[in-house]
Amino acid sequence: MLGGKPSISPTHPDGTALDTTAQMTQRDEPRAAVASATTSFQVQDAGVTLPTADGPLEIIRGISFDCHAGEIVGIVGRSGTGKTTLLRILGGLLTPTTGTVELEGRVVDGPPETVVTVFQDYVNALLPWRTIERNVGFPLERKVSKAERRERVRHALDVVGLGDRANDHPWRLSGGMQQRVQIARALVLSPRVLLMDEPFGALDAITKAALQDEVLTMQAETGATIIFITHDLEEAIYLSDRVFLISGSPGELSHQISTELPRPRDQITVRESPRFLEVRHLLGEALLNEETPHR
Amino acid sequence: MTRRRLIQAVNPLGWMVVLAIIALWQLLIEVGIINFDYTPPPTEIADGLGHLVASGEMGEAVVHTLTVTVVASAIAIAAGVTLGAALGLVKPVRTYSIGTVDFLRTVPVVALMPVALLVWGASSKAEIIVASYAAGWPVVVNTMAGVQSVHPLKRDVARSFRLSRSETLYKIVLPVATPAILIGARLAIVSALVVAIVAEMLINPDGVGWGLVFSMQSLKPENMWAYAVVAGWMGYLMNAILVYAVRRGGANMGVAKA
Amino acid sequence: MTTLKGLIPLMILLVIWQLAGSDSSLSFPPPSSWIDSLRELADHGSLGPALRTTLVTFALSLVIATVIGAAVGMAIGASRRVDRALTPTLDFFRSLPPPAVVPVAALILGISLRMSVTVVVIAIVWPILLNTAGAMRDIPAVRIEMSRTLGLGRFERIIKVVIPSLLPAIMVGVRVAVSISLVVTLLVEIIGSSDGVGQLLAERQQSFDAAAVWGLLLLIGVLGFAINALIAAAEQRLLRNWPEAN
Repeated sequence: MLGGKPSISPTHPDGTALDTTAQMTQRDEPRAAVASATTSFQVQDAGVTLPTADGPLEIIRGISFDCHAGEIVGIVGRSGTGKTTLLRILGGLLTPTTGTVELEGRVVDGPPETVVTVFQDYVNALLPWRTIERNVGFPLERKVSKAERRERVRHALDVVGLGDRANDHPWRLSGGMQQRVQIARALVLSPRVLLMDEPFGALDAITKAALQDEVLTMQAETGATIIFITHDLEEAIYLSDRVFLISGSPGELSHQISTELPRPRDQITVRESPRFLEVRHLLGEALLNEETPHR
Repeated sequence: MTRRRLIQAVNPLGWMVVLAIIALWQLLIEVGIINFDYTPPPTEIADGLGHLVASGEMGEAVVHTLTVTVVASAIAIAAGVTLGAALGLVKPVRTYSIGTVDFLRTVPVVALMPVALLVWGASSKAEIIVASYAAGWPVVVNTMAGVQSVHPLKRDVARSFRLSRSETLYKIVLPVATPAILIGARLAIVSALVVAIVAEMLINPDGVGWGLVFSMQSLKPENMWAYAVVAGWMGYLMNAILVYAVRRGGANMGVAKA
Repeated sequence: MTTLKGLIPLMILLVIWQLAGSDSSLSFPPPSSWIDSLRELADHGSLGPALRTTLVTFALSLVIATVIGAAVGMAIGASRRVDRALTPTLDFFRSLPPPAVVPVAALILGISLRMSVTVVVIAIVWPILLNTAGAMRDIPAVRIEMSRTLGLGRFERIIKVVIPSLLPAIMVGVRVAVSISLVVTLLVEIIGSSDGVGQLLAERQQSFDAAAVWGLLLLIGVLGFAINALIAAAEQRLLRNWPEAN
């Protein structure tokens, strides 16, 4: 696998039903052996149109893909291409106007129990009146015993390195720390799918690298599917099995690149490997060549 | 799109609700579902209002109340800005009187009315004094806060240009404090209106407040409702004008304040 | 200590008044006579019950107005459509001078504690209601989505996310309501009822008992000051975990 020919599959700009089917068959072929039980998301021709003061606005169009359980997918693309909207329909926070989203064979029509979204806006995603500990334990209330809750909260806080701030309030923490609290709150539920909207955007480089590795370790332990949005191409490649490029307005899934990097990954050797640089090059090229969005 | 904006601005749905409430009220009384002796239907209130306007009583009452409001506001703003600036700028004044200010401004104004009546009698003077007293405090508090918010750097600028103390006050401190003072002035005018109406109910038999109480005592509910509606309009219009004026004033000062 | 220093001018004024005032003054009796009058009223058995009635009316109205204002405000703020539909109506009630409600309600509802409380609630509920509705509109969408993705039910969401998010705004409304509430409570007692400190004040004034009027003014002033301080302390305590109070 390593060093093999990069598989890059451009999607047709106008994702009609016919094109979608053709593209899916083509992409599903190598994974024909994979049993349907391990399929995580199946997205078919999903589009979202939202009403605005100036009439309806099409945000994303004709998005189709599927990903298997335990896969890590990074979504990149310019601002305003609807990446967050895509993440919201995956998380069941928004119903697509067209097409369908299925998780493990069931149509997503609300936030599924096994999916947790980590939001970009960490300030508002945390409850300012609760301490860090009570923010992280929040989703476990009335679900597990107090002792178990305390145990799981402590473990999650240790993972993100905030064990010593448990009794502080979020607004006393730096942005990066607040985001780590949000990630801990997601981890505490041991979700099968973790959706993250620019999770590491507010972090400094060193914390970022450490947390990236934490996410990889956590994924190896739990086998969770992870789909995340990032503006950092190298982060997308380093973490992901596949990188999606969303482009245009309305946003469409224009490229998918399999990174084909081995796991476990190491910050230094992976980032210096020829394959990493190759994918970096392909992705950079794809981003540069796309049309400038009109919006 | 422009149609949408127009609907946004005029809010026809909101005004339909107002009409619907009035129509429902009328209907409930006509059908006899509500039958309080003192809840006349809107048509009767309109009649009462018509009579009061035709006889000139309503006009006189509104003019009296508005005059008191304006005079009391002017006194309150002039005195309030002076006191507020002194409190904000001179530390000893603040230290040795802020407790008194805090005490005096929390005295419920209704309790002052009997005292005013004892001292000044049932007169417009008593009404104006009580209204100015109540309206002054928001100006004092806002002026003090506004004056204290002047950034130390601006004072340094003033010193480097060798401005005198009074020049600093007029050219630097007051302009910076103006948006806060304007908000205080708006609150002052609104409370002057409210307190004027209370004073008319309790100590000075004149104006809209007296109209309300007098028609209550003489069992003319349609007149009383008419006065209440007019009092509501006065408050509504005054508030709308003041919000607009303060926003304009604030914008001219280069401050975006809602 | 700071508060005491700040009260010095008031103290000086009272002392001068005491020294210069004459017991025979019809308008400005000296402060010592105020205290005597208050004691007399208390001994006579009219001050205690009046004070209790006034405080009960005040406290009951405030609690009821807070509950109704917060609940209705939440319902209105939850829907953009309902909010817009009610905007002109609510704007009218908000800017209606609260005292104007008193004679109207007094005439309809008659004289009783229930009437007093109802009138005060009608007069003071608006700042709480409008503040809550505004804060409801401003709850960040992410906060609601967060509670959905974490699997909270509707009830749990309202209790654990919505109401705590609104609390600072509700408290701002309550503080405004408190200051209107004392005024309206006393006004209702003066023109509409036969009980309470307001009624006592009106009665003393009508019998030209200046010392008692000044004494009651002092009592009400202290009461107002204490209630405001109490509410401020309660707010500080209640919101100690909120960034707004820090």
